Amino acid sequence: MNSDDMSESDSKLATPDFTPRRATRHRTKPKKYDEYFESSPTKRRSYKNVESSDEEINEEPLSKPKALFSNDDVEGQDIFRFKSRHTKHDLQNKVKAVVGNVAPSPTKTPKKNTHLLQKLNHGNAQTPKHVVDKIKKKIIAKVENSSDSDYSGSSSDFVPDKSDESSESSGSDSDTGNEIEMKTSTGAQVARNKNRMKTKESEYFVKSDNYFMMNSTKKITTSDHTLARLKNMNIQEEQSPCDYVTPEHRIKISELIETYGQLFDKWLFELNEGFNILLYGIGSKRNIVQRFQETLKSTPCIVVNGFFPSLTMKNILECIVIDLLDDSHVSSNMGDVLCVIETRLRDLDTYLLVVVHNIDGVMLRSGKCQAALAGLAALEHVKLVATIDHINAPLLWDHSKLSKYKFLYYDVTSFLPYEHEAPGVAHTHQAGGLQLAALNSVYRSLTNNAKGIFNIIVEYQLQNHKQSHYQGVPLKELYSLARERFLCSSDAVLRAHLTEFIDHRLMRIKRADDGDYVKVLLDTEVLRGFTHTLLDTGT
Amino acid sequence: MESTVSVSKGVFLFCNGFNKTKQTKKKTKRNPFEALFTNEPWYTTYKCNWERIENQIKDLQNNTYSFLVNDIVNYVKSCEHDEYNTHEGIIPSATLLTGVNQPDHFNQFVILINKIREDVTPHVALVNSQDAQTLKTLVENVVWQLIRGQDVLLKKNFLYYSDEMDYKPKLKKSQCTMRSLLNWYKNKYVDVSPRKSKHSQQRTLVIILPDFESFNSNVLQDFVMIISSYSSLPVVLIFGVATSVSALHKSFPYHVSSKLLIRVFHSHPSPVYMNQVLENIFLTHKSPFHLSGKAFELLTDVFLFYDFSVTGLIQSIKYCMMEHYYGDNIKTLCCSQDQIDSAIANLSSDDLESIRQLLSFRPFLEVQDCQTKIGLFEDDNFFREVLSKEMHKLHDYIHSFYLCVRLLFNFVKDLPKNIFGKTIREIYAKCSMEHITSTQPFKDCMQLISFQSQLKLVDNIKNALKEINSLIKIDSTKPLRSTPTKNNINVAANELGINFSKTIRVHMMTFLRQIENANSESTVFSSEADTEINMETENVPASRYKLKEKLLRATRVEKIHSEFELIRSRFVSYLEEILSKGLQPPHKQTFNEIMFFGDVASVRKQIVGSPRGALHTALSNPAHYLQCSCCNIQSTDSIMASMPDVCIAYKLHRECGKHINVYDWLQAFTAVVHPEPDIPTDDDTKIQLRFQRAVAELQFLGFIKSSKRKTDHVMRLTW
Repeated sequence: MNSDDMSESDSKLATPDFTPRRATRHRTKPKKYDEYFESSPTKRRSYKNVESSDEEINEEPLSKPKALFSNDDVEGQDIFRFKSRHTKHDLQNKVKAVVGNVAPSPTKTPKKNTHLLQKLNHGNAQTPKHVVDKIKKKIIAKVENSSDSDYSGSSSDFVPDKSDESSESSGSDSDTGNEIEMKTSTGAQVARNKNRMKTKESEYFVKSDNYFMMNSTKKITTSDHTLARLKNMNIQEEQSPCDYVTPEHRIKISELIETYGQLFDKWLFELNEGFNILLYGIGSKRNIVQRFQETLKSTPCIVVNGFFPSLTMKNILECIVIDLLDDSHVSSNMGDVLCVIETRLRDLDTYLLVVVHNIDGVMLRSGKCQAALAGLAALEHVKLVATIDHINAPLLWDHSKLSKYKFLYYDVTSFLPYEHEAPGVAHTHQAGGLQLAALNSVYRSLTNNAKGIFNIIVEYQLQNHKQSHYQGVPLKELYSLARERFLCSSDAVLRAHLTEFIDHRLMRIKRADDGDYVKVLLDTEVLRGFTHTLLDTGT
Repeated sequence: MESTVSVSKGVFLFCNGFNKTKQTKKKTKRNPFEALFTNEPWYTTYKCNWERIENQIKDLQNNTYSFLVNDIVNYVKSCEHDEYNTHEGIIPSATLLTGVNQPDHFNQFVILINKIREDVTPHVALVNSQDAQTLKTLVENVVWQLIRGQDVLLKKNFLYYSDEMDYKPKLKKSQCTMRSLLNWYKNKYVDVSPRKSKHSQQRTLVIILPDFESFNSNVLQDFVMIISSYSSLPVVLIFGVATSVSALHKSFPYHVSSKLLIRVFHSHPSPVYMNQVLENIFLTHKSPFHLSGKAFELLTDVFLFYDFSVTGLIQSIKYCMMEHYYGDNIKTLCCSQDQIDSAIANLSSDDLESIRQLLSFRPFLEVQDCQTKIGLFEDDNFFREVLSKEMHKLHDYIHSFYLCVRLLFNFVKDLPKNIFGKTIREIYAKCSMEHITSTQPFKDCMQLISFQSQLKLVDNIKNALKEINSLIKIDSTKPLRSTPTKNNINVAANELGINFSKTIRVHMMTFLRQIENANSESTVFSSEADTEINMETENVPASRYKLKEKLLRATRVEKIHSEFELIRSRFVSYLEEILSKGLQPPHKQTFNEIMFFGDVASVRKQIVGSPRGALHTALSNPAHYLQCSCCNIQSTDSIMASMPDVCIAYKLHRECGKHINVYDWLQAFTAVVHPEPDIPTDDDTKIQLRFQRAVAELQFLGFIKSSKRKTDHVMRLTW
């Protein structure tokens, strides 16, 4: 539906001829969305005002939360929206804007910067500028014409880029042109905001269909670059992660953490009144919790590392019942265990502080664990201090668990690195390095003949892997090659060597009609890296 | 820190001098959580006030549930008397429709159990769904609790624990089967000596399953079938159902439900209960602590939009109260009226100084003359005197404020359109935010009242009188405060408080009498006019035009004000007058900070919490937390090289679609962090490491996950 239609029918519906019921139902929805996609905050606030004045006029106002939300909240638009569609160039444009935004100091000539930009362009997509321009214009036209396009308002980043690029291309591609570009891109921020206002024509209504359209394309449109382009894949982390923080930030962070120390007394008070404390915010919170724990010298305390990969609920309960309370047996029934803990603690007249670092840890995410922890937290003599980091952590708890937990939320953003919680091995990048290291260490332990056979297979694979349906080295060919180099004397010896490789999961033998094939199970890139290291070490 | 990091352990114990065998010297032990505060005056005041409120809540709960509980108990009793046991194998059962806010119902069931124990039978078992995952555990739990009878109390009953629990169970849980139950029952009741064999000795066994929907329906079916086969045991089942009776029918097929004799009981919906709690406990002048309009709205919003849990609401109010009192000795003044003077006497001069700092003290100060001003600042004793006077005034104000809120509610509640809402809490929220009598909606209301019929008005006034009377009755039990003798500061002191309500009562009574007496004349007039018109329209049936004209003429005729109308308008203006006097918003009062809690912002963060929002803010605008000079940005979209690595990586990842090419991401990161064209390789590795760490952190936070669909790609998981 067109937005103009909408607003017209809107005003019609608001007239008293219509039943108020219908009016309430239709009233706000479309308006909301076009206001929402105005992304300047002042606009949005004015939307709120409109809304409230509407409400007074309206006959049957839907009751809305009044005090729940305030103006300094994070806009929901920022956190919970449909994923906007992005193109290959968004990232590049962004970087361009950032690098351009660095105020050119007198020492830094624009030439240097443009050089960098060119380099960036070079590094990423190499589409000629006029082609990009053309496509962009086409897209914009499309967006403006068809009302049900699947481009969200938030991807209107196109428009400023267009202004960027058009000014860029209007100049010649010579150095002078580049200088002009520099000027425009320093003012890009301003232009961007102005252009935001203009994009109002490209209205966008959230429809459920759009979600499916967005997700229907199976094809991944990102570039095909891989990390193999980097020269040094197998870097080892030597430095402590703190080294990456700038000195000013380090001071500010320690100041920030200092302020959290002032909350400790309050936490004590709140724990005493039967609430439990939940800490959130980015950065490791271990340090803060640790300090809090140290203030309680006379209370028995249990520290649980929720991020510990093989943690079980049983560990925690055993620690309490057996180690602390000197009981011999942990019942399998949760209710019984809790009962025992509570009565024992009451008899001893002590309180138990349970500290859970990352109560949203992988091993604690099951409903059963959370129910058990909630039961534990609800005990009168158990006080819980827990931290969360994952963005979806609050989804772990339903209202019956929450009512047992009785959490008070505290924001203790610290920006400290997650030293223990998130070890650096994160993704394929590092995993490739790991494979390479493993390969190297296996290789080093081989006999010379076995090394030679391995090299033959690797070389063969590197030469031939581009063939379609590459199956591996035919065993016959491998045998003849190995015999030529005096690496093995019989088929049995060769097979013995191969068995060793197979045991290390380096290779696989595949049976085919025309004999067996041997294939290395590693990535080509890893193999290439491996041969490079061989050449480097000269073995 | 290192003591709690290990590759083989995830749980660490710090005994901190905890001695397991320490049973003897109980006296020396102190609660370390409380130790810091026990001697603080604010803490004692808080403790005492909260205990009072808690007791009130408990009483209220008993009252509200008593009706329902009595019904159920009567039903159980009637089952005992064999009314229903005529059919073999049919189990009488009660279904209690509780509503979805399950955590709240716990108290309800506790009261029910206590009542049943008192009145019917000591053998009650309550089994929650989490304790009965299988049929075996369910039967064990039920039998165990039934046999232990009196001496075992509810498991999971943390609030009302009793100390009589002995920890040497006479029979093991694994021995608890239906057969042992049967044997036990026979021994206890059937095979007793004939002198005891009265019929009433046969005690019923009550089994309560409070959260029916969470049970595994197969387990329940089997359980019901088993019980029905033990027909010699007089069992009564009570199910707590959160949704509707159909849940029962859905989980029980015919052959099971035919064994049950179901009777349904309805409990109050939770908003009703919430309104009761608020109106009877917190929105009265007796409550020592009051919520400002904004805080009040926050809490009711949390209730209405998040959890529907009255326990949660009470906890939030408790938290507000904690926040109100925490670490602030001047809040000791926030107590009942008869304790004020002693509380003021106990204040130190530092405390007095901080009272002088209160914002609401300023307007008060401005109207004083120079001499008193100096006196207020210099002379602590003089200040104490003034403070006491003002605090009493504040109490008087609160007294009449709540009276007026109730009066207003009484007159407004059944006006069309519900301008002020349908409950006292809504009116309270409105009144405490602004001076309501000067607003348009209030004027509309008054206008509507001035159109009300005589009958209605009489009714309303009678109700209002009832309200006032009950208020005065409560207060008259207490000795009245002696009027201040040297009252030269403010003469208005006498206008509010109990005297105020008394004058209102007198006026209301006169109005009531007048309106009732004014009855005859006006009704005669109106009925005559009506009949006249009716007659004529009947006479002239066809001409619509003429009718229209007639009606028009009728409107033009000058209305003669009847006596009733005159009195009514006088009454309305009187009402307006008293309300505008009584409904001054609290934030205009001197020293209101002491009695009213209004710091919504801080409480909201703790009660509601926004982990996601905090992450977003920290990542997109780190300067908000760090307060550093280097990272000030114009819009949240922009990136600066000086930001923490994880922020840069986060912002760059927001520019990508669902899939992110790690290589491109790294290049972009490098370009932002290190915008020099000739990069030495050594730095390059360093940047890679930084990037790696940032990506790992983002993965830990749940923004991305690694993807197998394309080499060196990660998936974006969020907004």
